[in-house]
Amino acid sequence: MNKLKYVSHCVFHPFDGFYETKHRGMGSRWIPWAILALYGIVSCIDVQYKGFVINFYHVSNMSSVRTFISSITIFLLFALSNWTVTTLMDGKGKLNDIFLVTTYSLVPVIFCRLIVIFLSNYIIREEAAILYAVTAFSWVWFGFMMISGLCTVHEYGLAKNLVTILITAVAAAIIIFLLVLFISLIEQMLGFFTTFFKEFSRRI
Amino acid sequence: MKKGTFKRVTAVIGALAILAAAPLTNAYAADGTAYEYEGYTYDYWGNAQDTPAAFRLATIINDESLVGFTFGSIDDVSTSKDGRIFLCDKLSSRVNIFDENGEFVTSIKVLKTGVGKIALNPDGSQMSLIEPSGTWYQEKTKELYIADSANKNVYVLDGETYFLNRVLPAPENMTGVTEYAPSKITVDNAGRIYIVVASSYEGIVELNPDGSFSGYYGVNEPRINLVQYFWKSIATDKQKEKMGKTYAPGFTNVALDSEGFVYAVTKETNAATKLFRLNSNGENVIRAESFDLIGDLHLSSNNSRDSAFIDVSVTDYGVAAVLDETKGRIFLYDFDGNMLNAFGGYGYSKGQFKKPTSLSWLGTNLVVTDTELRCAYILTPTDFGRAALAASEAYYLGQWEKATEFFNECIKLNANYEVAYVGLGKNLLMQDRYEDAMYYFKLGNSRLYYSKAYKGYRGEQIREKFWIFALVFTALMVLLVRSEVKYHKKNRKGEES
Repeated sequence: MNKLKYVSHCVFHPFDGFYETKHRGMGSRWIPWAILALYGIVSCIDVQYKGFVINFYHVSNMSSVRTFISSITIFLLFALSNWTVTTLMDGKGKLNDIFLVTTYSLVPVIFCRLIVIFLSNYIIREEAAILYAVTAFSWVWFGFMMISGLCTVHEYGLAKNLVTILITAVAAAIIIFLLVLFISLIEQMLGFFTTFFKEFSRRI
Repeated sequence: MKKGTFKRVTAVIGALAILAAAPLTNAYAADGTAYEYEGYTYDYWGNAQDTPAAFRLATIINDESLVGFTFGSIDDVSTSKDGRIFLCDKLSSRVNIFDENGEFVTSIKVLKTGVGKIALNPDGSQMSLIEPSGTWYQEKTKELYIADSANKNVYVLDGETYFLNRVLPAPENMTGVTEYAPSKITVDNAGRIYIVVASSYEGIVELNPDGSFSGYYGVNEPRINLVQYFWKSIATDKQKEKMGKTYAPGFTNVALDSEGFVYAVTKETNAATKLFRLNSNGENVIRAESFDLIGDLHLSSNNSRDSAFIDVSVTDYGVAAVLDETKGRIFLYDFDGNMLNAFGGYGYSKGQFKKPTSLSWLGTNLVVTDTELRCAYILTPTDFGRAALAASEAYYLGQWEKATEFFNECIKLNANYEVAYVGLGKNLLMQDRYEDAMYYFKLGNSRLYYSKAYKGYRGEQIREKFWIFALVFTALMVLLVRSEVKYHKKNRKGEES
């Protein structure tokens, strides 16, 4: 319970908060996953219940599962690729720490997005700019929390942190490439075995 | 899976595949009559939605309609309000005239100034058409204008007797460099003549009523290619010389609407805009409420499948019919720039095209010509087309009741027709029936008008439930005052003690 309350401390005092989560045992194993799941659910709510005036999704084409997975994958991928990069570049953060920073940073985004979804049902076109501003603000906050949190857990300066984030993007691309390669190889292998067994069973 | 079921499943799949691949030749109306065309329109997300075609084939004008001679080609069509059809035949140097039922009236080749009096050229030879490539019938003065691209003249004929009134030769003081060869022509109510010269990049040639040169008209901006722009920006002067200039794309055809605006189309692939409504300054003032007016929306990378507009014609209530050369389609746009319908295509069955050249409204009918088939189709609206056009007309004229009636009929015939939902919504919005209007705008996917309706609805709700807001506000004020009072009391106590 104490750890759950500590999330809000991280939101408002990221340097201090993320230091404590790493070194003073205020971090948690399950809260990050809960936040990430919440983010996925909020993304689905966003598609379904955002007010008609600013909802440009093709609702009849919408799939909750697809929305959920695609919205959370990017953060999992970021955590993984950032970890692969920073372990090579003297980063002190463990995968758990990075994942925690990433997901805790999403808290203001989730919060603001819920507000936007609620208010968007009561606005007209001219007022939509306010909601866009709220959304933009939440992402700026996210960015600030991410950068300060990563600086803290890796014990980096700002410049080095930004460089590693850039390299992270490249690493993410490589990971995706390898994944695609792996999946297509597995597919071919499975195809080979199935035809092999088919042929085999027909010969007997 | 058992072998038997597997076989059955494959059989079903195979049957489905055959069904899906079978060409659907005809669409049928509710009463069983076959339509030649299948129509579609685009929904809010730009997906093509099947709709009934707005037109079906009524009459064919071809060689059998003529007496004593045949069509060489058909290059242009124009119509008069009283239902005459003027077909230009470049190859056999004729303008053939038909009535609204497609019956042959007369043919013009040699120009006459009176009964039995043949007009003469300045050199004494007899005056006749050589390559008539565009005509325009001006209602106000009842005159037929014929643009001849070979002898570079514009002939003005009397609209009843077809005797030559005057000849407008090539103007002398033209500033452009493109050779003057008038190909398409339109004349506004003030008598100003707008002439499209094939492959001219200066714009439309505007002539004064007396035939003297007035200026170039209309701007057709080229599409800017980012890559080209980059290379040009870093090239040296010598390289630039070799690269060649980017010329403004030319116009392909012109027409006039009832308000005196010139409609123009271009088939050039490098044009940024394809359909123009030009004001007196030559600026494009066309309305495009939903999508850009470019025909088919899904663009290909090499422009090969993009729609290429070759002719346009406009009704009195602003519905533009545009002919596309790429797929042989006819697009209908209403005054607001919403696509009402698209239909037609290339093929060998009746009503289809091989090389369409031009189109023109004939009342509510459409005349479309094909030069390779050497025929002109007179198309007549289907039930849906009639309702859609009538709704558009009533809406344009502000006859809300009538528009509602026709929009409702459209929806009955075609539930995919977003324009009708939006039209019904607009009508309800006018009557301040906000909640109903919101329902229809949502169905029509019009966020702009939904927002307008919602603004009204929200205002209504706030006025109605004003006591709630008042109550909350007073409660807040009371709380505020109370906390202030408490705070000051505390402070005063602190001071006292």
